[in-house]
Order: sequence, then structure tokens, then C-alpha cells
Amino acid sequence: MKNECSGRWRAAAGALAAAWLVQRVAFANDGRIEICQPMMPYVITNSGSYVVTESLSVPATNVDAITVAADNVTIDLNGQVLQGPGLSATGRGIYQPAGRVNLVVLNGTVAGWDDSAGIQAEGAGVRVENVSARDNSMGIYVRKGGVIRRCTAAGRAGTTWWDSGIRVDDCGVIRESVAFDNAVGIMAAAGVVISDCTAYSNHVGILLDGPGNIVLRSSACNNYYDGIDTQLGVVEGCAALGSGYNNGIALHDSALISACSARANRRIGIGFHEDDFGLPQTYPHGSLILDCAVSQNGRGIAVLRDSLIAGCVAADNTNQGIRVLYNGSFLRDNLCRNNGVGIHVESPWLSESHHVRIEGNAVMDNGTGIQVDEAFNLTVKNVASGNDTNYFAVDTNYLGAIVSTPLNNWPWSNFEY
Amino acid sequence: MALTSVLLAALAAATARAGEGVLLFSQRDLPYLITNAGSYRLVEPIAFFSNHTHAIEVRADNVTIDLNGFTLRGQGSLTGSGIFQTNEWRNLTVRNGMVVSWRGSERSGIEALGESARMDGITVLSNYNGITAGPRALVSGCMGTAQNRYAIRVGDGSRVEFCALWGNPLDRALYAGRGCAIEHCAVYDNYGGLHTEEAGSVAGCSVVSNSTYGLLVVGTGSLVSASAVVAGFDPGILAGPGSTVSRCLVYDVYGPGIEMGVGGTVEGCLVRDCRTGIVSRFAANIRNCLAYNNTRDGIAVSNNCRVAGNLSSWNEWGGIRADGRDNRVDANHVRANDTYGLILYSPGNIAARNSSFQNAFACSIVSGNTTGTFHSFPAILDEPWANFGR
Amino acid sequence: MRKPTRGAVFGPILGLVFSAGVCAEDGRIQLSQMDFSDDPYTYTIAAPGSYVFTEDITAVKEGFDGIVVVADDVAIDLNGFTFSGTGSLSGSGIVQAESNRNLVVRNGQLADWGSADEYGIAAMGVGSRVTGVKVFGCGTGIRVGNAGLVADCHAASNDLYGIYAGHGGLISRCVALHNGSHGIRAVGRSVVAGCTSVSNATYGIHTGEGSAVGACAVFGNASHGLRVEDGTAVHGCTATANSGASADGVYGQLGVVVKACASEGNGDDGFYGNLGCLFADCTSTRNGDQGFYVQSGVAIRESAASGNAENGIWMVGDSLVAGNVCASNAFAGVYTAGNGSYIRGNHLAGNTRGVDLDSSTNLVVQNSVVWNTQTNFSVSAGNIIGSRTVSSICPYETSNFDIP
Repeated sequence: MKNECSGRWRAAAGALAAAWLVQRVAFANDGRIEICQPMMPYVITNSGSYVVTESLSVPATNVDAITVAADNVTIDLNGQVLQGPGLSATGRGIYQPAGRVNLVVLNGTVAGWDDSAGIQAEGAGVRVENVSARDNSMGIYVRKGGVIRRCTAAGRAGTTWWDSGIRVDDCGVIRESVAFDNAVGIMAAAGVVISDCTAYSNHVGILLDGPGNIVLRSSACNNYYDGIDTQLGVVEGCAALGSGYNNGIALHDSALISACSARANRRIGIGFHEDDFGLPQTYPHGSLILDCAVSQNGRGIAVLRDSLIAGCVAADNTNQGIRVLYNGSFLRDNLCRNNGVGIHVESPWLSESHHVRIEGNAVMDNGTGIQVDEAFNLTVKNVASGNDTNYFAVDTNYLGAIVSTPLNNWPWSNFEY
Repeated sequence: MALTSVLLAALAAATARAGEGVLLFSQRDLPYLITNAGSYRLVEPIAFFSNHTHAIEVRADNVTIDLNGFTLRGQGSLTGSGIFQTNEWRNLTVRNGMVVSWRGSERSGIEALGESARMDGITVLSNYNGITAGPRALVSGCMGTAQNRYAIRVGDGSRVEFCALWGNPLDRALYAGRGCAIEHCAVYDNYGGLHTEEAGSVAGCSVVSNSTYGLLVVGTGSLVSASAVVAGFDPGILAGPGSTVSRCLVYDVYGPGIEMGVGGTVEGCLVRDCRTGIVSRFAANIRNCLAYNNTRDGIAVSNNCRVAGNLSSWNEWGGIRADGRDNRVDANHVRANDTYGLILYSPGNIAARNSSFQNAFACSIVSGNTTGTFHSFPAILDEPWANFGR
Repeated sequence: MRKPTRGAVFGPILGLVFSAGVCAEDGRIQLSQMDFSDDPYTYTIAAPGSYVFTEDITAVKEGFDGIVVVADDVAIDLNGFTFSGTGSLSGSGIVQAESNRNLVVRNGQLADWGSADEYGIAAMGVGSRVTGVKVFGCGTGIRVGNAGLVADCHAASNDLYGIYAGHGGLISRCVALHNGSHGIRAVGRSVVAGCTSVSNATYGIHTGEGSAVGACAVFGNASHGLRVEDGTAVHGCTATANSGASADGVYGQLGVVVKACASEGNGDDGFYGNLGCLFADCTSTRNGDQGFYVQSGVAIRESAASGNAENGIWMVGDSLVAGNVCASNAFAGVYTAGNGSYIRGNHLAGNTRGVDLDSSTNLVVQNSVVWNTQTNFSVSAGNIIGSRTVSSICPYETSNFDIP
């Protein structure tokens, strides 16, 4: 019986004979099973290693090109393209149903699954490496247990809000990958480590939709809404630049932000979402922001109650360098220069902002250096220079004496010069 | 022509042949004993059912086995290991495949005990142990689930990177010997999480929803940085003496968020919704941390510790507690804790330059401690070591 | 898409003999020397597909590109072989126009493709990937367009750039060595991680704005070791022995954060920071000029500057310098030519001068300034200096220790 992939056929002995009779498989000379166009759409029902020998296409819009209905399957796209039908394609390029485990997809392109996914793995244990996913609604999706490496996800215009270039829901590693022109460039639910990735020109660059995610050494630039949107996770060593509508790094819940740069974002460099009145739309109480540089944003850093901000530089932000709403935060050892207000403890709309400790900061060349709008805050040991107004605090604040010389017995003094 | 192709193909598949310097092997070669250095490639899925016998045993240095995307499967509870090498040999590389159901007691899907083994792109599923490697191994980009014991276990001086381990129900997902580096791994929903022995380095790891038997545990003199631990019943991060835990987040852990051994440092960490946020018995340096909304104290120390520059708020017990003596509690901000802002239960401590606001009580300090006076608003002071309280 | 084959009837046995578009067993189109030996000498790929080298291939005629890709979705596997040009008069090795996208080149070597205007690989379209490739002796070694990815590559002895990536790109785990311009250049919004750049004629690594740079080492380059533009985050890098007329270890433009980096033995400054930068937990040792040279509005915290040929820290003004150690620098531990800085809690020891203020209205408190050979404090009038004491019994908390 002549095989349809290559015009050759091979006698299959033993256990392989049954598979051959069922599937009329052809084998590459390294034993892998070939996949070619006449087999499309193709349902894999046996575990094994498969190699694509030519570019594949599926013209029908509601058909999955390759369905992986078996465990322990490796698909080497072999540099070929798995091409979907384009507009209104509700089928998927490669689909792994729920309950399946262990899928590996390597070395190729999945493109043109416009209303669906290039790779959609609903099972668990999926490794995707050296794959380009372009012009899909969702590029690469792994529900659980994913290792994504050196992939490129390029979206298309008009994707729906949650569609991601690369997405791993629970437990995964996304590394050395590029996501651009998607609704969401890279998305993770819980327990995902994202490192060495770029998210460029998406609606949201990197979206962390649950706890325990980590973003390291990544760049999220020129995204429309937010560069990095995080909650209950760690963001370190990242750059977020040029968000056109919202924040460089947006906090949905408390998070640890360390050694990041946020520059030229429309609203806030690092902070909560705010509405057009400056009121919070998210409530990330208890955030920790360390050693960050925020510059040329609408506001540099904006946090809610019980947050700790230390060792940051906020420069050239239009409004506040550091803005604090509500009670109990601790601002220490920051430098705020050339902002509208260097540090502002604010109480919009009759809210309370008490018990904030502002200590050891340097505020220079701002409109107002330190402004405290509410009572019962502690402002000590700060240094202010060159501001239009160095210190402004309402009565009943614990404001260290403002002195111009350190030659005194007032160790809690604030300086101005 | 067709017959020629058939014969050639059959010949190609039948035996390991030297093409491009790579030896091909298949089911019929098992159990396969490799005694020569070189590269080997699997050409079909393998299932091996012989009790107490390894499917592939490597008795040579410098062997590379490419599983070629195929599965190496054992069966039953009396298997050997899928791939086995003793510590007499070294430099075994195994890559690109799946190793499944090697359940013999104490056996592994891949048991590479020699030095400098390398595992790359391997998935281990339902083995007794998944990958067991000797010293100075490199395990990269691997996945592991449903082992009886460890998904990955490596010897001293090894490196494990970019691995995802989940659903291993009976033991720790990842166990590393001394001086190992664990980077950018995800450990999720296992019985136990990630353990290293002394002098380990854990960076950029996510340990989420593991149940007990240790979530993220490091031995003496280790470093944990830029990591996240979420949910579980043990200490979120349990660090041996002389360790440093830096820039980590611990959330929703039933035990202490971070438990630091003697003489360690906890720096720049966010710990919330745990039991005690950060705890140390002796000579720890806890600084620049945020302890928030924990069900006991925010920060609790025993003796000889320094607690400085932290924010501790909304904890159900105290903000900062020192049970013993010779602790220095300095320049912290404690707020809205359900009992006391600062608690010094024993004499012989120093508490200065702290601010304690909106706690049930500003402080509970027994006599015999050295403390700055607690002052309320609105006095402005000339006392450099004063505390503030309201 | 397969090209028609002449040897198809002989299948895999004789396929390699009759090349010209023969498919490998796995369906990829094979490339061999015969595809390049006759007119037009350039192999043009005009349709998506997967190509694999079957042997080393050398261009036979000067002035021609090796492979020109005018299609999307092309994958070229060099298969461990070397693709060579004819030297400085050659064209480029593999070229893809900007209008195309998704070119993948992997696993091999390219050598001797042209001079400054040519490339080993020019994958100019969006979303291209180059992995596991060594390129040497070309014009620019590897260039990718926007959203490109270059990983595990090695670029050496190229006339111009070693590796060059467009916006939103990723350069990971690469080595750039002895190139005629920058070793690694990423235009902006990029990530450069785990790379080494050594002995290049200008910068070791140069990234555009909004980039993240981590775990890189730059050594012996003839200009800045690492230069980063606005809004970049730098973490865990080392810059050593970069020497030249202006060779800073790390040069940061506006709003850059540099954390946990080390800069040693560079010809100029260890670190340079423009407005709004942050340096934290860094070390700057034995550099030819300043340990840290910063403009206004910069924070330098918890860092160390020692053994530098001029000042440990040199700043324009309006900066925060806190918690640092500046020791054994040839000039001052901390120097400012401007106003408005806050110098607090540093340890300045064994320099020629401890604190050197050439302007006014700087605040200096809580420092320990000890055993500096010429003077501990060289300050102009109008600065605000905490009392200076040699005694541990300080009347003021803001005192400086001044121990000769």
C-alpha cells in the first residue's frame, strides 16, 4: 500500500503494523512519523514523535489542524508552517484536549487561526520551543505545566481582550520569548516564571492574573494600556516604557517591585490604576517597591495604604514623584527631583491618609517638595532643596522642625536649603 | 523501486547504524548497554517490562542520548531505571524525550549518578523518582509530574534551571545537594516544594500551592532571591543559618512566611497573609521588609537580632515582637496591628526610632529594656532615639 | 512547498547526488554547493519552506549575496555546516527584506561575507530568529529586525557590529568578540541577557531606551563597556577593563536603574549616570577616572568606590549619596561641582580628600570621614556640614566623624 506522505512505504512489524494499518503512517529515517498535507486535518491517537515534512494548511474554518488525542507526543514542525484559514477561523492549529499530558511542539510556525489559537493545550505538561505564532487570536496557550522557550508571538489587530500571544495558566516557565501586537503579550495565571522576554506594542504587555508569578529581566514597552500588570508577585529588573494609556507597571494587588525602570508612561510609572479623577480603580494595599527609577510619567509611583517605598528615584514626573493615598505607608530614602510634587500624601474625596512615615527622603527642584494633606503623619529627617515650596503639611502632623543647619539638638529635623 | 525503498528502510530501522556519527537504537536493542562514548538516538517509542533491569545502562564517559521526542516507558513496580549510569562514569547527556512509569522502588526515570550529567528537554511522568543526577549536573528545561518521590534530585554543585514541576503528590518536587543553583523554576501543587542543602542559590523561582513537607527550604549559607512562595502549610521559606533571603514574596502560607536560621539576613521581602510573617530565633538581620495582614505577629525574633527599617501592619497579633534579649528594634513603622505595635517580652533589648500608630496598644515593653521614650503628637523632640506612638 | 526534483525516482539513495532542490527524508529542501556554483550564484527563496544544508557551502563569485529570502516563514537549518563568502568583496550571507517576516536561521557558521555594508545574516523582517549560529569575518555579523530573537550565537571579528537587533528584540546568551563596532547593539525596548561582549572596537553592549539588561559581562572594549539609553534597567552585570578615550564601564542615560553591578579597571569612569538615574549595590574599582560620575538628580546608595584614579563619586548636584563606601581613591571620596546634594551616612576613608565640595548648599551629615591623606573635608563656603567630631560622643545626631 503506497503511503501518502512521500511515495514510499515501509513494512511495519510488530506493534507498528497495527498503527500503520490504522493510520497509514510513514516514517522518517530516524523513526519519527511524518505528517504531510494529505493527512490534514490529523488526529494523533498514538504517543510518539512526529515530524512535519511540508507546510500544512486547513482551509475549513472550524476544524483543528492537528488534534493531539494521546499522551507523550512530540511534534517537530521542522521549520514548516501550519497555516490556518485566516479570518473567522475557529479551529485551532494544534489542539490538546483536557486530560492529556506531555506534548512537545518544536521548530516551526503556526499562523492564521484568527478567531482561535495557534497552539491550545488544555492538558498539562507542554513544552513549546522555537515556534513562531503569528496572526492568531491566541498564539500559544498552555493550561498547566508549560515550558515555553524562544518563541515569538505576533498577534493581529482586533483581538479580544484576553487573547494572548503567549499564555500559561498554572505552573510554567516562559523564557527568551518575544510578544508583540497582541491583546495581551504574555499572560500567566499562577506560579509562572517569566524571564528575558520582550512585550512590545500590545494592549497589555505582560499580565499576571493571579498569585505567585515572577517577571525578571524583561522589557514591556509601547503597550497601550499597561506594560506589566501584576498582583501578588515579584517583578525585578524590568523596564516599562511608553504605555500610551495607563501605567508602566500596574498593581492590581500588593506586589514586590524591585530594580525596575518605568519611564514615559501616560499615567503612572509604578502604581495602582486610577480613573480620570485620580481615584484608584485597583487596591494594591501593602506593596513593596525598592530601588526603582521612575521618570517622565504622569506620576512616578502611586500606592495605597501600608506600602513601603524605599531607595527609589522619581524624576521629571508631571504630577507627583511619589503619591500615597490612605493610611500607614512608609517612604524612606527616596530621591524626588523635578516633579510637580516630590512626595504627596494625599486624601482625595474625604478619605483618610494618616500614619504615613516619611523619612530620610531628598526632594529637590520640585514644585512642592513634600506635601502632606492630612493629619497624624510623621515627616522627619528629610532634605528639601530648590523646591518652590519645600514643605507643606497641615496642622497636627508630626513634622520635624524645618531647619537649615544640622547644628542643633533636633535629630528629627527636616532640612531645607 | 518500492521494494528497494522498503528493504533500505527496514535495514535502517532494524539495527543501530552509524550515520552522521550517530548510532540509532530501538526497542529491539533493549536492554541496551552502552559502553562506548558517542551519540545515540532513539528511533521509536520504547516500552520495557523486565523486572529490576534498566532499559538503558551507560558504562562509558561522554555519551549523548537523544530520545528524539519519543517515550521511554517502564511498567509495574519492579522496574529498574529507564536510563542508568553509576558514579563511575561521567558526562552523560540525555535530551528531548519523555520518561514514564519507572516505578521500581528507589529507581528513577533517569538515574545518572556520574558527574556532570546533563538533562535537557526531558519530561518525567509517574516514575518513582523522575530525574536523579549526580554531582555537577545541569538540568535545563525539564518538566516533571506525578512521581512517587522527587521529580528532580541532583547532587552537589549542580544547576537546575527553567524547569516546571507540578502534581508530585508524595515528596518534594525538587531536591538539590550542596552548593547548587536553582534558577527560574516553577514548582506547583506538589506535596513538598523545593529543597536545597547548604550553600545553595535559589533565584527567580515560583513555589505555589504545595501542601507541606517544606515549601522552599534552603540549607546553611544559602541565598534565596527574587522568588515567590504562595500557599501551603509549612514555612514559606525556611532558611538555614547564615542564609540570605532577599526580595522575595510569601503569601497565604499557613506557617511562618519566612523562618530564618541563626545569623541570616532577610531583606526587602514582602510577607502577607501568613501565620507569623517573618521569624528568627537568633542573630538575624531583618530589614526593609513589609509584613502585612498575617494571622500572628508581623515580625517575631528571639535573641540578638536586628530588626530595622521594616513596615509591619494589620497583623492579628503584634507588629514586631521580641521574645528574648539583645535585640535591636530600630526605625520601624508598625501600624494597625490587633494587639501591640511593639512587644518586648524580656529585658535587655533596644527599641528606638520606631513609630507605632493605630495599634490596639502602641507597645508592650517590660522593664529592663533600653527604649526611646514613646511620644505622641504633636511634640517635636530633641531626643534622637525617641519612639513615636499614638 | 517542494521544488521539483530531477532525481526523485532514485529517492533517498541518490537524492544527494542530484541536488538542486532535492528534499531530505524529512521533507526539507536540501541545499548544497551545486546550488551556488553557477549563475545566478545567489539562491533565492521565494516561497515559505524549510531548508537544510547538506554540506559546507562557499560562494564562488564576488559581489553576490549567498541566500536572498523574499518570502515569509522561511527556516534555514545550517545543520552544523559553514556557509562562506569570498571575503571583503562578497555580498551578504543570508538576507531577508524588511517587508518579509519570520525568518529562522539556526545551527551553523557563516564566515567571510563582505565588509561594512554587508552582513553575515540580515534578517530584517519582523519576528525573525537566529539561534546557535557563529558568524565571523563579515560586515555585521547578525542583524535582525524588530521583535527579533538572537540566542546562543557567537559573533567575532566582523567589520562592524557583532549582533544588531531592532526594537523589541531579545539577545540572549550570545558572545560578541573582536568586532569593528559595537559587540552587541539592540535598538530599544529590548532585552539583552546572559551575554558576553569582549574586545570590540566601540561599545561592548549598547541598548536603546526601555531595555532590560541582565547578567552580562563586558570586557576589554574600546569604548563604553555597557551603554544604555533612557529608562533601562540593568542588573547583575560586570564591566571590566574597557579602555579608550571615553570608556566607562557602565554608561546610563536618563532614568536608568543600575543594581548589583561591578565595574573595574575601565579607562574612564566606572559608572556614568545622567539625570534621574539610580545606582544601588554597585562596586566601582580601579577605574581610570571617577568611580561614579553622575549628573543631577541621581541617587547612589549602598555602593562602593575604591581605588579609582580620580574621585570615588563625582556629581553635578541635586543628588543623594547615601550609605556608600569610598576608599583609597586618588582624589576625593565624594566630590561635587554643583549644589543641592545630600551626602549622608557614607564611609570615606583613605582617599586624598574625604569630602570635596567646590560649590555651595550641599548637605553633609552622618558620614565617617577618616584617614584621608590630604584632608577629610575640603569644602567651599555655603555648604551645610554636620558638626565634625573625632569623638564618639557626638553632640548631634547629624555629626560627621572626622578622624585625621
